[in-house]
Amino acid sequence: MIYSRKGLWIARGAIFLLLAVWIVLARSIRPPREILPWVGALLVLTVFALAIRAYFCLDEIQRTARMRAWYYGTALGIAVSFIAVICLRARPDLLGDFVDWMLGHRSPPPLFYFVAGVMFILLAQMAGYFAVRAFMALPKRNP
Amino acid sequence: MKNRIKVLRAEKNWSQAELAEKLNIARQSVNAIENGKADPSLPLGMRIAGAFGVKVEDVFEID
Repeated sequence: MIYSRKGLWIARGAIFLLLAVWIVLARSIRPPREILPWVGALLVLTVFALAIRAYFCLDEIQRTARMRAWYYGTALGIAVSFIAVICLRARPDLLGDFVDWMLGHRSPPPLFYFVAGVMFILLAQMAGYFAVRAFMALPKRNP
Repeated sequence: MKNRIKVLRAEKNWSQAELAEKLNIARQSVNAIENGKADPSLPLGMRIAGAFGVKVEDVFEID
């Protein structure tokens, strides 16, 4: 697939629109809990397909830059997650305080801890990706 | 890798956007190549040289 600015914006727009619709519908309609995982899985697959489509609408320079940012950004995210795990091993009470602050009580189901752990790593990787992209966008200093 | 894209562009009086359109790449990519932040592949390098009507070695030079 060759570079297409229009295709890129359509794919990106569709991703943001889907996520916005998901947030609005989840808050206003409150669908039954049983169908939520299926709708969520469908949403993730659709967003993933659109992200792949957006990637193939980029030119070779942009693709290389995105791949580099993804490589270093996700490595950074994993490193940050690892540091968080070490800190929590040293001070386990911090996790209780954090959950208390987030939910208002200290006894959420074990599934909450699992999902929160997975989401933390994913969000750290995403934040790392954007941090590396911001760093790469800085003007190059010539010696 | 050094390049003479800026000079060649000025000779032709083309903007980065015009060159990007001729090459079917993003303007930001032309800017990245021009400023040495990215190196193009051989096919793209040849397309850049072709757009200016010169040889590849007249556009790019190893540091």
